[in-house]
Amino acid sequence: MNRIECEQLDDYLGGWLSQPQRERFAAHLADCPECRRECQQQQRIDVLLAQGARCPESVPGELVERIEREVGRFSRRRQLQWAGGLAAAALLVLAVGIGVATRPPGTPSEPRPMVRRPSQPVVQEAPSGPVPEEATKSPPEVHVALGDPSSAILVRKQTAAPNVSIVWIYPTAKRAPAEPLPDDDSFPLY
Amino acid sequence: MRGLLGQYVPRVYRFALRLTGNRHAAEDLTQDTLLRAWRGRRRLRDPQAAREWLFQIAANLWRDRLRREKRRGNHAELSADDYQSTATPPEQEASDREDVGRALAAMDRLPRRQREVLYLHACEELSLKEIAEVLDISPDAVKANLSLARKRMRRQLKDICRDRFPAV
Repeated sequence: MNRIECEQLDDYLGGWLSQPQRERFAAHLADCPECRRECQQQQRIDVLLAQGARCPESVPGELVERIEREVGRFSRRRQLQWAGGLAAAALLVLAVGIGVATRPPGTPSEPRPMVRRPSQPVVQEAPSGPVPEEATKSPPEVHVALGDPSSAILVRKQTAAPNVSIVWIYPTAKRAPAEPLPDDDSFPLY
Repeated sequence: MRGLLGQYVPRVYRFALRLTGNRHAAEDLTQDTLLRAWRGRRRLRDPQAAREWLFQIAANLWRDRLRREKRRGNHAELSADDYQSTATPPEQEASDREDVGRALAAMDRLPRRQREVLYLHACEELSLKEIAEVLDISPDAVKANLSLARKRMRRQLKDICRDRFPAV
């Protein structure tokens, strides 16, 4: 008895040997009565198990009916869920349609844009001069009226933003006592 | 639908018996498997692979249940209603009927994994790859378990074959 060859018995029975290995083992079988008997025994067991697999005895008679009932119940539940979903969707479409149809004429279709206004005026102008009409319009131009333009130096400062400029106003003479100079920080004009 | 159920319920039930080792658990598992399959029937791309697909669902459901039972400290396989096959094909001779019954009973006494692998291979004739997919294990593990199962079966059923293949 060749032990190394005998260990290949299960691989041979499983059909997992390569063709040369299979041929070698077949030759070994001719010389090894023990392996030959094991092979015959395994073939017999395989036949018995295959026959056993075809036996219908052990399936309970009512099992198919029970499963059929359960599947039917599940299908009905699923149909009800679908019907409910469709009904809800139809109601929603109906409600939206009624809402659109019954809207009074002239109702704006879009909400008004929100406008944010500053609480304090951005530019404090001199009270003595009249405010030009253009100043109330949107930028880019802002006019500042000074009581005496010759008594101030205006320095325009460039900024990174193309539509923003900052102008410092430096008074040079005859500061009006009633109008104290504001802090520098409050001067930037936008 | 009845035709389909009639075709697959016995196969799933017999596999469930090998998984659970218990008739009541096998009935419940068969029902859960078929119901799960019915719900997800659109996921079955290849109708030819329906049998493997059903076995896979059954094995997954049973594995999940074993995990849950383990967490709770129970063992789902142990029961007063432990299954032992008594399959007896009517068209066979008495001695053959007895041998089939003994072979199935010996298979049912194998450790769980070996039992599952041997059943799928010997009774359902699935390939190693198909068994690996059904049980979610590697093909090498299938081979190892199948070899062990066959050795045990031969040891347990030595006398079955003694008359036919006398020892030399």
